[in-house]
Amino acid sequence: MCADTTTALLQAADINVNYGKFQAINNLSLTLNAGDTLGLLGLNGAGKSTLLRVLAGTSAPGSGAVSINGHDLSKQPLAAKQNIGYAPDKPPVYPEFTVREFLTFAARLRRVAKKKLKTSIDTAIEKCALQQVTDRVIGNLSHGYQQRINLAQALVHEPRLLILDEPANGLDPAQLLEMRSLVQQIQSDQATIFSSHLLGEVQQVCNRVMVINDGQKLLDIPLLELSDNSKTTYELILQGKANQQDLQNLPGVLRICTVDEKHWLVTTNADNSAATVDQIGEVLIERGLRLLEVNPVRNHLEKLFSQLKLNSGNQPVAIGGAS
Amino acid sequence: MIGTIARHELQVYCRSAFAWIAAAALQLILGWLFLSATEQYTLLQNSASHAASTGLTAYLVVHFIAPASIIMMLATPLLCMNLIAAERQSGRYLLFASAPVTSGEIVLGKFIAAIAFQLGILTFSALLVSALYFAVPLDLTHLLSAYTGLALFVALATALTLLFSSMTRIPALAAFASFSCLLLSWMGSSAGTDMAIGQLSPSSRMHNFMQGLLHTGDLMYFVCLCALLLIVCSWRLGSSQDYRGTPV
Repeated sequence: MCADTTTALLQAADINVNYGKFQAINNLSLTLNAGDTLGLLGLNGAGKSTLLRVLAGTSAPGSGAVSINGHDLSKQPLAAKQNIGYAPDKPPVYPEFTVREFLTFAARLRRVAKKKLKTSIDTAIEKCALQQVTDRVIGNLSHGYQQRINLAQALVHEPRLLILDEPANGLDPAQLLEMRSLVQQIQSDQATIFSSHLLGEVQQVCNRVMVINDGQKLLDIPLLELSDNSKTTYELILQGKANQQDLQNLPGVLRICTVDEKHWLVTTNADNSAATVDQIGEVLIERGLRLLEVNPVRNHLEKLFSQLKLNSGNQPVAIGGAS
Repeated sequence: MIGTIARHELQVYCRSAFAWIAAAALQLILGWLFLSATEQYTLLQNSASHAASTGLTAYLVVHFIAPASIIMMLATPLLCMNLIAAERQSGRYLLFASAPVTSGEIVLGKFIAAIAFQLGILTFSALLVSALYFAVPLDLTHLLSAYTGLALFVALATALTLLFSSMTRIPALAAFASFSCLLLSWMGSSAGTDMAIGQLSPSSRMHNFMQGLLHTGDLMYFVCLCALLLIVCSWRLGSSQDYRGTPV
């Protein structure tokens, strides 16, 4: 998680976005290196699309800085955007154009050199399996194909950073599988951010996951850590409300994250975890917090997400796999 | 990059049913206007009244080219309202906003395409006039001056509509705002050129062109006002990306 900042493809620091009085993104920082495929998870309205728009340079943050491959997005926007491939949630396609015509325009817009234009378009078409529809008018194609075209336009200039906003939206199970394999084929010298509200989707495609809610980062871990037996995660339920500072520097705790002020997830070293839980309880009492329950959690990502679902009331959330 | 965007926008125009219907309707109206003007001129000549002493060129300028500017006052907002507003409404503007292009390049590309499409329509109307050239003597300099005035007016109306199109996601609102401004300025010109509003009105600035007089001041007025509107439009687009609360 402690990325080497000299080789970071994406560095976002202290991002804040406000819509009037509403804070859509709250002091969020993020670093991505080559080979990272980050799954951005959150409920509807959590701030995923807003964050992705800021990272894609289509909107500037109220405060904070974004740097793409060493280029500051606010000071060198053209150089920074040259490294970005952005596929918004709604495919930005022209229905009256054929697939090839649209991709040619997208490539020219991304300043692909004339000599490389045909090769780049053909590669994007091949990667996204669009060979059979290259001369078809986009408006006559299915939503699944339009999502592939959306991905192809983001890939056509071979960007270092790929930003995909819910690319699985509206796809049927077969199309989901194809989209998943497309994202997995993306080269290792690239970094990808993949937003979704499908937990299973992220677990299958990404190697790192970040959960956001109400514009705040709740969790940011490599997915391997979820299956790491050397660490144990507990759900702490407190009687009263606590803040991040109240739970700082707990003994043996590697990471904490919160769903709300009363529900906390703490990850500890598995060794001697029972003793660690006792110590945590003691420290919390010293800090004036009363512990109601301590439950071991097998998959704290799932736990966090199900808790988010509970807190969101009747908002529909998919937790399981989508395939 | 400006050329890429302009070419793309022209392709969008050429594949839009609305643009073709609008172009056909304009040709119909302009054709009818032309026929009506030539017919009236013939009748006046036959009646041997004093009006017959007016040349055909001057008559066509007053009764065909000048009214064409009023028709374009309505047509231009309708033809240009989609340029940015519809792109933002459909989410396609994100394609431009995430690409390594400046807002100035986007605005200029779209402006050039819109001008080219409308000049195409006006060229067809000029062909109607030029068809008379082989039968009757025409003052080509006067006609050229009048068409230059008309083209400059269309350019100004396009820049104004582009600006309003960058300020809203509702194309009809952009068209309405632009048409209202153009109509107000036209009403201002009828108030007389002595008044400040009359001096600023593009319609009154076209008078010299319609009389066959090319004034540098009038030319500069149109060029500077167009440039100003396009700069404000670019700034507006840029600031919507550097937003403080308004996403693209």
